[in-house]
Amino acid sequence: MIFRQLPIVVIFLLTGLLSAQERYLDKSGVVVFEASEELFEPVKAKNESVTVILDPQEHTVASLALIRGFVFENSLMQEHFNENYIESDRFPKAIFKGEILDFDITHLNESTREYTIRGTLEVRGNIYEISPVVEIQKVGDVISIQGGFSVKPGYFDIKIPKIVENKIAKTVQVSLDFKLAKQ
Amino acid sequence: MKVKNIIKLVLAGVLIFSLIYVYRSVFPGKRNIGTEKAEFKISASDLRDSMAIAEIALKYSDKVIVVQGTVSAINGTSINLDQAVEAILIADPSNMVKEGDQIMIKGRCVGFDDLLGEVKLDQASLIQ
Repeated sequence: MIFRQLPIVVIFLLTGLLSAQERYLDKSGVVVFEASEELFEPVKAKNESVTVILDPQEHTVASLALIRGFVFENSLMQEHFNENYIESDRFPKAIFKGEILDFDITHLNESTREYTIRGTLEVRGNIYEISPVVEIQKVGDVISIQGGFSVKPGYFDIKIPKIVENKIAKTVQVSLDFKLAKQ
Repeated sequence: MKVKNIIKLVLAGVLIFSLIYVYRSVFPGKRNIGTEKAEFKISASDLRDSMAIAEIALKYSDKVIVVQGTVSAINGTSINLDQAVEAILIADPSNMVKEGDQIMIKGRCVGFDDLLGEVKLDQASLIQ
């Protein structure tokens, strides 16, 4: 009796395997931000522990950067950044969620192509819409995403004290360098 | 005359040291995690369970800690322990460890990644 139902059982098992969600992941993505003013000490920090997840079916990207992960050359500047500007004990992470426009994973190859990711960035409890332009390429099972965008501290309610206003650029440049491996 | 010269030398020395001291206070350089003494020693899964709770996470946040666990994955300079802690090392560890090894890693606790449910450690190094 069971043998009659075997084909249906086999089909169900196969579709279960085929529809397994494929995703691409980077757990050590690099994000650099810079807000240096000429003639003053560089204001620049690099985070090498950013998590980035790409879902090729949904065309979505989700990313989490721990604020403490941003390392400055000057540890005093790093302390001020965490304690005074961001208050990272209260707001430990920066989160980006977005959709890659006109994305089709089957079109990716070794040559880079330009895409726009439309999404939101949340820092210090404030959400701001950004649309970074990125270059995406795929080599084997690794998708690489590079690009950047700029924001202003005011978007996230980050207050720059008057006394250092001249030493910090009004616009912060952010650059991204991710290598996502297929899971 | 000799005494005058000695006094001048001493004052010059004091001045130079003061300048160096002030310079180092204003430009302290990067924190050297490798030379700092670890404040806590904990297993990877215990650390993950603790840090999943926001209030407890502050206890370990930005501190230098030693984490012990089994290597579940190696990716470039990152080692994953027990699928609970992702440690980003200063040097490439692939010659020294492999999956399944039980190891100890010293690093700075960066925070809890709730996208993956893992703790991030950076500026890390292997401990013998």
